[in-house]
Amino acid sequence: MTCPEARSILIELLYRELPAGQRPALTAHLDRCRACQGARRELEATVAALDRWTPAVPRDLHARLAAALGLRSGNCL
Amino acid sequence: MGRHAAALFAFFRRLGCSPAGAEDLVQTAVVRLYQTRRRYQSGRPFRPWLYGIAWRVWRDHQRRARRERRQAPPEEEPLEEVPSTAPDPFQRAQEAQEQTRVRQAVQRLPASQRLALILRHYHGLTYEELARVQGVPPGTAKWRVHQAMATVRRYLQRPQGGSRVP
Repeated sequence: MTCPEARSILIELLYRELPAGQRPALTAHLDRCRACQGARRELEATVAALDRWTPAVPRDLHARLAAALGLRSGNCL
Repeated sequence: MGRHAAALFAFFRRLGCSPAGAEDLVQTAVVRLYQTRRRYQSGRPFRPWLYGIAWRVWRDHQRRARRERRQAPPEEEPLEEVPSTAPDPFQRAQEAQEQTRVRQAVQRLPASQRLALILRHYHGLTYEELARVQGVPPGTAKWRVHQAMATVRRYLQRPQGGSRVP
């Protein structure tokens, strides 16, 4: 596996969506390529940073929506 | 639909809407989902349909706002995010600042990349589902997510204070 090939599927590895068939080749490449190890760490840091951004959802969002749409809360929304 | 309202709210917030604006758009999206429900084919994945409608609602809103020349830039209020539960005030402030930086990084992305990243990362859509929402081939959807990730990474690595994404 080449570096561009490895980097094109790194994100799937982090999302745990890499097809099982591709994992051994990527793991083997990462074991021996320091540049791609660094790319993996950077991507992990970016994913972790994105995970920390959580917009607060109003507690009464559902009830307000139901009221605005003329529905009984819990009925349809 | 109940479980989707909160997800739609977060979706619109991440695209750059104010809390009140996001709530209005959730309402619009729910109405549009109801109006177009007959077009949804049972058995087909629901999320691409849901977010396709939500995306069009947001896009229409943006166009209208531009036309009316009252499009506001993304707000800069760190308290919009879920407050940190860290006991240390310094740590809380740092976490709030980190959330603000991530928000800035995402909201500075080109719209197509922002949508791709938000749907992929926060809403778990596959590239195929993402491609369906955006009306592009899966390869293009994947490229947009990769580009967005790289841009966000570069933005977060920059020293704070600048404004241009490299």
